[in-house]
This record gives sequence, C-alpha cells and structure tokens, in this order.
Amino acid sequence: MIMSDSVIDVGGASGGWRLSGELTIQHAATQGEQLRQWIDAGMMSVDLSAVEACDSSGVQLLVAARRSVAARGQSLELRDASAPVRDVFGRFALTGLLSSDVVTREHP
Amino acid sequence: MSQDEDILAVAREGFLDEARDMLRQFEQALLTMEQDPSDAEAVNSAFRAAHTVKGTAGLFGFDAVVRFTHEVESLLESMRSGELALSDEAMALLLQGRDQMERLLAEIGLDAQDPDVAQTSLTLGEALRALRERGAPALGQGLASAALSGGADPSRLVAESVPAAGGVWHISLRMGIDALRNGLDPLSFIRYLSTLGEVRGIHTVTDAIPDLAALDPESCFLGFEIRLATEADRATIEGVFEFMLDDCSLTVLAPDAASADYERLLDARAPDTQPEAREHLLAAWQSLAGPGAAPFIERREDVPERRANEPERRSGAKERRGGDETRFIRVRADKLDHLIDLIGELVIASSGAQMVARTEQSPTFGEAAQRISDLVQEARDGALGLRMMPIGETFSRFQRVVRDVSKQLEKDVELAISGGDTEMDKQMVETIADPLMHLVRNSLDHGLEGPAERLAAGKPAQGRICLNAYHESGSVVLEVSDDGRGLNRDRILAKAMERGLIEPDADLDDEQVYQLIFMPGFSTAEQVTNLSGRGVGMDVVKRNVEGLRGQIRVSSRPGQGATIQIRLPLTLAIIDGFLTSVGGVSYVLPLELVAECLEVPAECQSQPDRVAGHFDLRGEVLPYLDIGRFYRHSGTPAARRSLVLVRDGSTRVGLIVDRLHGEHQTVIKPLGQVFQDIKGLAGSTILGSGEVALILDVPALLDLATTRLSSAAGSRGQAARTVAGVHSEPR
Amino acid sequence: MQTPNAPIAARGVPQGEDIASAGDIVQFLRLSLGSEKYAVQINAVREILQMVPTTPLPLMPPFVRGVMNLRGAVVPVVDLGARLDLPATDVGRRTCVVIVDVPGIDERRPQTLGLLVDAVYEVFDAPVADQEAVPRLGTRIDPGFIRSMVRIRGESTAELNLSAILDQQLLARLIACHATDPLSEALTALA
Repeated sequence: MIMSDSVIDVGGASGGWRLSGELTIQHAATQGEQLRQWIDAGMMSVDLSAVEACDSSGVQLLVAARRSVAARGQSLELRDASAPVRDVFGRFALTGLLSSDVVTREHP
Repeated sequence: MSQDEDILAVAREGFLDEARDMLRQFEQALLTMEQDPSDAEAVNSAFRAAHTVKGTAGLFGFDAVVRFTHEVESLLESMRSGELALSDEAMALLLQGRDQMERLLAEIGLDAQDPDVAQTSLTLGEALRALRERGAPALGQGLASAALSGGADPSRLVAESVPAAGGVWHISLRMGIDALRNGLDPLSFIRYLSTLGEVRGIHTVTDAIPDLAALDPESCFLGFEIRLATEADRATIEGVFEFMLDDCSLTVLAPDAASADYERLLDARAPDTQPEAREHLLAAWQSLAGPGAAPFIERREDVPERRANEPERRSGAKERRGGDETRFIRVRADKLDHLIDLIGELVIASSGAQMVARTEQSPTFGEAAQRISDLVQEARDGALGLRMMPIGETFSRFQRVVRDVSKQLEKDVELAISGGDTEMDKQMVETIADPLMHLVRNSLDHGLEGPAERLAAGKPAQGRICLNAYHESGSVVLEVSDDGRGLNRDRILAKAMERGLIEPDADLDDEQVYQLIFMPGFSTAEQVTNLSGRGVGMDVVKRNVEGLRGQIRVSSRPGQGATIQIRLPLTLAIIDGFLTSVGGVSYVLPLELVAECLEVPAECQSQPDRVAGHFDLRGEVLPYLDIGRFYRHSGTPAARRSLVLVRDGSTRVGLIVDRLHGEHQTVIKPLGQVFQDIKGLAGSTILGSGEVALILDVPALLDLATTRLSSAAGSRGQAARTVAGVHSEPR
Repeated sequence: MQTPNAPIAARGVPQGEDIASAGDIVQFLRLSLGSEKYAVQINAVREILQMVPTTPLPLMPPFVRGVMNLRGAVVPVVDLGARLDLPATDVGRRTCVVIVDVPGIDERRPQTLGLLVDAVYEVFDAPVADQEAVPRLGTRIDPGFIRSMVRIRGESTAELNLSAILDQQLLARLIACHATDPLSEALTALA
C-alpha cells in the first residue's frame, strides 16, 4: 500500500527521472521501490531538485542506488540536489557524491 | 479479553504512564527554558522527553502521536543545535504542542478519533514546521561554506573561537542495524556535536550499505569517523550519544590517545580478515588528520604496557551503562499493596510468636523470635518506602497552572516551592493533589490582588504563592500561603450567619471563624468562578483531607495574606506504635509522638472526677487529658497509672492511661465504614494475642476533647481552651 | 403484580433476591432477641459464631458492641436487640454472633458486620407465597425494620429488614453524632 504524500513523478521538465516528496524513513520503502524500477528501466541520472526532506535513510537509498548502477558498469548521477539534500550530504561529508553543478534550485 | 489483548492492555497502560511522566518532564523543561533561555540542559530535557514519547509510541504503532510529536521534536532539535533561538512564539507553540500531545495520548484506545484533535495536529504541526524552517538560516551550502559565511549561525561562531589547544577528539561510530527503526537518526546527533565545538572532519563509512535490491531502507548501515575540536570533557562528548548506546558501537579517543589506541580501534572496526576495509579506514583517518599530520602507520608488534591503559580509553556501550543514573522499574500498584498486606500479617504473626516465647519462657525461642521481629521491621520499612514518593512532582504541576491562570487574570504571580523532596505515601499524594490545586486556584482567584491594587497597598506588584512541605512529629505538613488580601473575618462571619450556618450570637475566635469557609453551603454561585469553582468547593477539600485522617487549618493576616496548612499522617499502613491500656482496652499511640512517660503527677490525682486539667513538668505548665475518664471507661481505674507525654504540633500534652506496654509494630486495619466519621481513632490493629487494639489519632482526639469539654462547660473556659492542640505557626 | 398479601417493598437497598415468583422457596434463619423470635434471609448470612471477645469502642451508642477479630479482619459488632430498641443482649451460654454482609455506602464494597443475638435456632424454608404483609400496629419493634411476616410452625414471625436496620450511612451518622455530643443520646433514642 502506498501511503505517502510524496508525489512520484516520472518524466519531469528536464526529461529525466525526478524524485520528489520526502526522502525520509517514513517514505523510504516507497522511494526505494521507485528507484529500483527506474534503475531497471536504465536510469543513469536522477533529478533531486524536488526532494523536500532528507535523512540518513535517504542517504542510504541514494548510495545504494549508485551501487546498483555501478554493478552493471555504469554510474548514477545525483543531479540538482535540493537544499535539504545538500544539507544532509554536507553533514556527512558526502557532497562529493552529488553532481558538481553548484546551482541549487529551490523546490517551486 | 483474550490473553494477548490482556498483555497489550497492560503494556499500553505502562506506555501511557510513562508518556504522562514524559509530558510532565517536558512541560517542566519548557517552563525552565522560558525563565532561563540559556539553560541548555532544559532544552535537552525537553528534547529527550519528546523523543522518548515519539520513540515508544512508534513501537506501539500509535501513528498520530508519532507524526505530531515528530514536529515538536524537530523544533526542539533545531533549538538544541543552536539553529533556532527561543522566542515567545516558539514557547507558545511548544506549550500548545504539549497539550496536543496530551490530547492525542488520551485518544489512544478509543474507537473514534475526534476530528478536531486531528485538525489541530495538522495546523499546529504546520505552525511548528514553519517556525523551524523560517528560523533556520540557509542550509543549502555544505559544511565548509557555512563556516565561511560567518555570522549566519551563532553556534558556528562559537565553534571557531574554540582555541586549537582545546584538543581534537576522535569519535568512531558504527550504527546498529535497527537504529533508524528505533527512531535514532545519526544526523541529529552529528548536528548536535557541532554545538560542542568544531567538527574538523567527518568521514561517513558507507561500506556496509548494500545495493538497492538488497537494501532494507529502514535498516541502518552507516558508520562515522569524526574529528571534533572541543574543550568539552569525555563525559560531555559521550553524553551526546547517551540515547543511542543500545543501537550503536561508540569509541571516543581523547586528543592524547596513543597510536596503540588507534590500532585497537582499527582492529575492532576492520579486523585482519577484511583488508579492503582496513585500507579504507586508514585512508579515511589519514584524510581526516589533514595534510600535515603524521601518517597512520600500522604497527604489527604488540606493545603490552600500552594495552594496560585499555579500560580507561575504551568506552563501549556496556561500560557506560549501569553508571551513575538511578535505575527505576515500573511496578503494578496492586502487587505492591499485596506485598504490604503480607508484611502486615507478618508483623502480627511475629508479634504472636514473641508472645508465645514469653509464655513458654524459652530464651532461645525468644531470641529467635526477636531476630525475626527485627527483620520484619526492616522489611516493613523497605516495603512502605516503596510507596513513598516526593511531593515535589505534584508541586511542579502547579507551575503551569499558575502561569496560565495568572496571565488569564492579568495578575503577576510567582510560585515558590520548597520542601519538594518531602516524601509521602503515593496514594496520599494522588488524593491530595486536587485539593491542593483548588487551594492554589483559590489564592490566585480570590486571595491575590491585581498589580494596581497591590502597588496602592504598598506591596510589590508581583504576588507570591508559596507551596511548602515538611515532616513534623510523625506527620507530613503541606502549606499553601499567599501574600494577598488575607481572609476578611467580618465578611466570613456575616456570610455564615446569612446562610444560617451559625447562630447569630455565636462567639467564635479567629481560627473558628476561618474554619467556617469549609462548611458545606458556604461557597456561593458568586464565588464559584469557572477557575476555582467547578463544584469542587472548600468543603470537599476539607472532606478529602479528613478522609486521609488529616487536619486542615487556616491562619491569616488581613491585608498581608493567608496560609492554609494541611497535616497528614505519614503512612496509612504500618506504624511504630506505643501500646498502652485503659480500662481493659488496649490503645496504640504513634511512637513518633511519644516524648516521655511518667507516673501520674499528684495534682492530676487530686480530683477524682476531673477529665482534663494542667500539671507542672519541671517548671513548665502543660495540659493533660485523662483518657479513661474522657472515654467513660467503667470500673475503678488502676491504682498506679501513668502519664504519656505526647507531641501535638509544637507543644506537648499529657495523656493518662492505666498501663504501659512499650513499643509495638502496628499494622493499621480500618475500623469499618460505620466508624468512618468518628474522631479520635485512626484505626485498629490486631495484637499477637488476637485481641483487637484501637489506634489513637492524637491530634483529632485532642480536638474532640476540646469540643466536648467546652460544650459541656457551656463556655470556652480556660481549661477547655488549653487542652486543644495549639496550632503551630506556619513556617 | 401486587396482591393485598404481597410483601411490602423493602426499604433502602434491596436485600438479596427480592424478586421471587410465587412458587419460589426462600430460606430463613430463625433467631431470638430476648424472648422474641425473629427471622432473617439466609443469603445475607456468611457464618455464625459462638460468642467471641469484642473490644469496646469509646463513646458509642448502646447498639455498638465493639469490634472483633474475624480471622485477621477487624469487624464491627452490633447488638441487634439494642439496635431494635429492645433491651440490650445479656451474654449467655447461647449468645451468638451472626456475620452478615450488607451493601456499603455509595455502592462501594459490601461491608461485613457481626450481629450479637441471644440465640440462633434453625434454618427453615418458606415459600414466598406464605409471606404476609407487615401489620402497621402491634409489632414489638419499629415496622420499618420488618420486611415481611413469615409463618413458621404456625407462628407469625417478623422477618428483619437488614438493609434498613444496618444501613451503613445511617449507622455512621448515628455513631458520629453520639460521639461528639452527649446530648445526642436522646436523638439516638428517637432514630
């Protein structure tokens, strides 16, 4: 049962896969499922500009997603991270995992 | 109910009990924060309380509580990490949050949820979130740029001013797999660390995170290696992680840790069997130490003398636990009562054994029986002690009430509490809480004047209510006093006459006039406001107090204030008694009240029919009461009687009895409902012989004697008045 | 349905099985107070003891004998004759204490009391139909204390209304008044 107020949006304005809603433990299962589907569909870049909140669980999801993509010899780009994502990754000194495009876009 | 449902119901009760405790702690911390915004411990305490409620609610699946409490906890967390300062708005929202949490807890187990409550959760939750987001400075930049931006975050400024000489600690943390499930997010702890100093470097160990297919998103696979520059001591640093100890492995290395300590840590985190992990960890440490630091070289040789330091340096979760914190366990009240009943029976049985030893005249048995009696006495004290709790917890509840009501009434009132660690039987505390609340509200409502009136009277604008508690002569004394208007003797008298409560020509002293306010029918609709009324009334207060075998007294100075004093027995179950007999009936006095025993002085014997009078004790004139005559025991009194000097408040009174039988462990048994209104007897007890003895309630007995003797005399003559217990001045 | 011979509704709290149909049998205990015989319904009686030592309480109305030790519990003992304004019971060879349970004040736990009586006889059965109304005049004791008249061995015997006689609230008040004011001995006599 999908219980979340996180909107799962396929095909955002930039033409790629865009995660939105919250990347937190309450929604981790749903978001994780979504990421799995997209990776199976061949995703190599995910737009994080619409992520409203992020916690440790969210970080794990993204790292695991990168691992899954790396396992098939490719790499997953974590793109346009929103402020909450940047904050958490910054705290964990994992900013290096985020795409180096420093321009942040606030969630509209 | 099925057995499962039974278990669940019991567990739920336990949760609700603990949650209520947490709410109390939460509110207390909030009020402290309001008084002293710089009190970091108060913020911590509030955070801890909210966190505990959320965590435990989560275990039970009480989602509504979890969701809302999360917002409260998050706001407190941003305060804790210095990102948000306390403001009136924040305080108001947090207090409202506490009330909402209470409402949500009350809804647990109910079939229907109140839609209003759910709505409040939404709106209040949003308000809390909005405040948090508004108050937080832009966190879009990473850690490094935040330090550069300067001025945006006060906590960072503090960190930068910590001299490098403070020391750089190394914190190695591996989260337990259930940490996230148990509501512990390392993110918040790491945020908090930055308030202790400067996080010079952090390495997040992601080695353990599997790929997406294998990942259980609620499990935690994270580890951290952190370099923290701080002046704080080990205890403070470890204190940051105090919540998490069950769900992580923590090692804190001091600035002066030797490389052997790091080797040990390396072995623990990445044993030889995992060469890749060791490589990663060493590399991480290297980068954390910075470019100028000496490289971490792995040494293979053992250095035994360094290992000897190990207990000091290492601090695993196990060693940390069982430390200085007092441990509590939750016990069902009925089990405790049952235990106390059993001990009561033990006391009586032990008494019986001692009697047999005496009749059988067996010294060896006598010794054994005495040993048993001593042990039973210790067990008795221990068991009764379990039921005692400090009254301070109840007193602190009133802080909130005084704050809210005084704001409502536009009066400036301070609540001063003293003697909060005075202990009372738990049941009595619960029974006396409502009457005390009523008295406090009464002072707020009627006793204390508004600021303007106070200033005009030459008093400080701020009024004061004092709650005080202390032990005295085997009783617990509770006092509620204020520095308000005081009681208006004439108005009380007039009102009592108007209501037909007393005769128009009644001649009463001040104390008796003040006692009129406790008569049923005295309070009227005009006095019963929606604050102090609600059908409680002073007569109910008095009844509750007397139901606990207590007394209530009033003293007042017009224009200066009033004090209401409640005196309660220390315990309802077992006491140290002093056994006497009068007219063939055994009476027990509370041992704590017994000051001295003497032969009956000559002047008491002089008039055969005197029930009460005075006698001289080493130059002091004291009143006495002849119990046998007062109680109209038939038959001729014993030839050589005794006088027992007992304490009554701050004075002493002599009680004449026939014989003294010495100390006696007394299990108090109730007399029966038909005797509930008589004064002077506190209950009964069963002696070792099976005989029923009566327990005297000394203060009430003396009151009764005063009443009967004065009405018999037809006037309040000197003798009658001085037999009465003299009411001690409030401290 | 009320018939002219149906028992008057019990005063105070109903005692035991009030609602019995005509064919039912009710059990009674027959006892004596002084020279008179009375009956009480057995369902209120817990046990019957021979005379036991009692500890007198001070300043009590005459019907309060004192308290006794009933296997570790302290139980009040009421002199039933004195309570019914008959002469106080003289303790003799056949004196007994009948332990009964009565409803407590405000529907709280039932209270246990001991009743001091001169003698107890037997337990007998009587059909409900044999119970008769209480006469308004001519009874030795206050008709308010009588629940019905029962015919035993040809004699019409008063069945005592224990709920009324031992009403806890009333007794508590009588006892409290008596203790505080010696003049209320007169009031007790009128109660």
